Amino acid sequence: MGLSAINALYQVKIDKAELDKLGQIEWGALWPAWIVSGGILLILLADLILPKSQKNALAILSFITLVAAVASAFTLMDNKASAFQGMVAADDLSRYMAALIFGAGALVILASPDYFSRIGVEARSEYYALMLAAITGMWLLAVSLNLMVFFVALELFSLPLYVLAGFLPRSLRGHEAGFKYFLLSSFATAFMLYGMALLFGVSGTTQFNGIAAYFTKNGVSGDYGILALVGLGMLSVGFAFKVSAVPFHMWTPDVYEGSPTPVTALMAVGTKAAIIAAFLRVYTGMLEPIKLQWQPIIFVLAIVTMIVGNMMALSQQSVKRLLAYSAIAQAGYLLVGIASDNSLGREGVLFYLFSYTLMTLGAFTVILALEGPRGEGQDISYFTGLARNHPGLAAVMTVCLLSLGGIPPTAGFFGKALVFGSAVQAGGWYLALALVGVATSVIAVFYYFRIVVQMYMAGDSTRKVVEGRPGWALVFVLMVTSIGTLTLGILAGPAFEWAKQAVAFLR
Amino acid sequence: MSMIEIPLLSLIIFLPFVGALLLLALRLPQKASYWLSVVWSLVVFAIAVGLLLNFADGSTSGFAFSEKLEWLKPLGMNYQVAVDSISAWLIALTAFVSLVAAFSAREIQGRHNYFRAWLLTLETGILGVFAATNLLNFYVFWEVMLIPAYFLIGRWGITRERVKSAIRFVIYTLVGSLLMLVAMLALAFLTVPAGGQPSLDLLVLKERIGGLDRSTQEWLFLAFAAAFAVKVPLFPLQAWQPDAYAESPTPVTIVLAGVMSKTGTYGFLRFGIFLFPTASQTFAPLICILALASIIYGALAALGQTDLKRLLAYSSLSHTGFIVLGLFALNNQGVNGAVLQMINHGITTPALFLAATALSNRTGTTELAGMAGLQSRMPRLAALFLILSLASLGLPGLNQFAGEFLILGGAWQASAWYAVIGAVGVVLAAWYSIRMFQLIWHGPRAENEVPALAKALDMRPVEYLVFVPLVALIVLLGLAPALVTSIFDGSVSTLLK
Repeated sequence: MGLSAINALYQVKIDKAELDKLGQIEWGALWPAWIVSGGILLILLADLILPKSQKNALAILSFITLVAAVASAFTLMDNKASAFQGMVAADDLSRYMAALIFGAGALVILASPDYFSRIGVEARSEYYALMLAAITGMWLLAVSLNLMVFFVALELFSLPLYVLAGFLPRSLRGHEAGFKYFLLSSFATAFMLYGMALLFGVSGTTQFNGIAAYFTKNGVSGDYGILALVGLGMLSVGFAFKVSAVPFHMWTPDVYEGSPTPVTALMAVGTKAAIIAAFLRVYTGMLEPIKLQWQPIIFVLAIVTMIVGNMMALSQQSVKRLLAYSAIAQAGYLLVGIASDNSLGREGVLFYLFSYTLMTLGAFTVILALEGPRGEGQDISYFTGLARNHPGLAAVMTVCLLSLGGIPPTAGFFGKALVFGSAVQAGGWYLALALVGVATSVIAVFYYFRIVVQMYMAGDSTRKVVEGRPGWALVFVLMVTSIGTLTLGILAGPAFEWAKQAVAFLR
Repeated sequence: MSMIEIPLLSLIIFLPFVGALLLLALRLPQKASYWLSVVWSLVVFAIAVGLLLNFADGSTSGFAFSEKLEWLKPLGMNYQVAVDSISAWLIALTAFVSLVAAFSAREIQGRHNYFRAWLLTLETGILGVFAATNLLNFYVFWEVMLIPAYFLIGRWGITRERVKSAIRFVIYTLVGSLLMLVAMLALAFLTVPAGGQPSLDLLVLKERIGGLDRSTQEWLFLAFAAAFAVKVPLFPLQAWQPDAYAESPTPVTIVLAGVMSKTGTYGFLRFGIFLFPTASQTFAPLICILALASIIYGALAALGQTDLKRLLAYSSLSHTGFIVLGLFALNNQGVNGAVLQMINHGITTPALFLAATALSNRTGTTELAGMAGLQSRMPRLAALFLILSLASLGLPGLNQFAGEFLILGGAWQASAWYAVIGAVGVVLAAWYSIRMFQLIWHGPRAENEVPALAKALDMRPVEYLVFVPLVALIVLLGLAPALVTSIFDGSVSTLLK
């Protein structure tokens, strides 16, 4: 400490306001999380009071909680702001992710009671509480600026999901899914934790900006360089697993297929959103100084994920598995934007995430609306003649599939155009990302259109898939997702501006 | 130009789509929805003709009626439409062919409202392609054509093979257009001036493209060409075409062959030749050879067909080959001929497919062998067929002649060989057209005569309503092609500069 600083310490009258600030905890930075935590307690209590016939109120309560969380997100602090001594971000990206994750969660929750009543399982308060906990964990992961917070958030959303995957009683596949997810995910978490430990060991801090500062100064040279690289590698394995990138994708189809469909939807949408946001904060933020080291990793991951995900999807007979592989493939497209590592890539990734959330959620909701008591209705042949029996469901599915296929004027098209654009802008070898993306997009159209063909063109099936019409809550979810997908495709500008604003601070 | 601020172009482009929504909302019975779609198409056609009349004096050679809306700024992507006299012609043609299609779609099997709605949506896509002056905007309209066409072929196609044809059509088209998408993005980013913004505006890119080195330009050109070649289609990318044409119900075939194939040739003209003049020059020989291959292959394949619709599909392949040949002669005469031929072919082909359907509805077959010797039973339909066959083989005095003449003249200037081989195509066209006519109308009656034939009627008054204007146009444009060429001549010169 320099002499002048010591002098200053003695001479300056300590500012009262400054002092207050030091001891102050910025509770406001985590408003959405507080609200949802409160909601969890309320739901657990309400379960005790509510009569058996009124249990659907739990879903409404959860929905309201999540909507309130989205609303509260807009009271977060300004851009570049962080709270809790820089451990948690309260910036535009936090806000964007809050809208995305809590919004998607709210829709999933809204669709749940219909599903459970149809398959004849009573969804008790545990279900909603676990869902809310998982959703909160996802958002916390997206806003963490510290390895410790990051890890706690990771566990906060992973643990409820293990339970939720095996939530259905008497479902062998469900239990298998839960167990498989637990086992494999724990491995991945362990890898990640080891990687974090190494990064901490190298840099001496768990703060993202501290680690970034270390790397800016030292790079990966010196004695610790090799440790940093091993840490980066292990961290990447964990990330790749969580985002279901090839070759760490093996769990995805089994878990997606075995889990109750609303849980699958949350896994497909929420987990991916959280991890991608974390990707942005960790790779293009914290690890930016050593981008030459991680860019090749993400580059390769993106290419194999696009190729394998799409190729595997081609031969699937179960729509849920097909969408699982499609989710893997979509992870590949998202990674393209991250690998290109330019501002268009980051903005494109966020926009893509928005459209991915809407279209994937829409597709899963249609499956959910068709599922029978014993999990039937997942086979592609179940969609035969759907356009005749349920034209609305068929239309929603078609919009979502076209968007997943990247056909304008849907949201998916702009998502793809932006991330491919970022690869093209990066130039050189990155052009390969765009070309592989294009080639695999054509493959993707094969399997997405297979479902469309079944719905509209395959022989006349008189089989009634589902008796009756979907309930109003389900209809609401279907409307929001399909109209959102179309609107985002036609009025892409504002959403893109928002995404742009949200990642502006990263560079 | 116009007194009141009406976005005229957007009105034309989106009016059919509004009609589609209306059809879906009203859920009219067969007859009412038929008349609604006909009247609606008629209104669109009237406005399109109004648009064309603005160019009638031939003095406007650049873009007019431009409209612009910001869409996605970082990619330089806007909603941007404008037309020159070439586009105005093609828009009028699209509206005309769509009107004919709507008119011919009387009885639709199943979900007729959806059918007509998709048909109108397809029209919006095609009109948008002809008007777009922003590359990504062009791409969006280009893809918007895809989905209606997919459903129309796959859902209302004729045989069991329809789904396969529809998928094949989508896959072929998509491979081409996605390559084009990457090329567009590359073009935007590679041409950003220092400190500037990327742009996908056609005219801005035209200014900027000179800065690119030669080989980059050539790669980008090839990616664009792939998309256009699939749509035309150009040999060897034609595999989707005969199936799609033959499988589609007639109104759809009319639109596919009449105007959708023109989006490919138009793309070559506007986004190939205009945007990449040097690369076009480099690849002109290659593309001309492919065009000649299309001409000869299409004609030979047409000669070997036993099915009337397939024969017409292959003959269409041959004729669009001429258009591409004219374009890549890269001189005033060739391009003039090509644009004229786009319009001619857009009139003759729908007429031929319509006549073929009129015939097959009566005979209950599309097999040439099942027809034979019908002249005495349906003399008037036979006369109509004769006129159309003669127009198709390029008889002087009928419309296709002038176009083919200009094209071959232009090709001759580029290389005498092109013209010689192209002329062989004309001879082959005469051969298969006459063979077709002979097989259907002359000769002894087939032994296994279809019972329906005994009651077969000659042309009905309602059919005159559609064929008389078509034949009148064929004769008019045959006698006075200058009526057409004088309007777009100036635009062609501007474009080739």
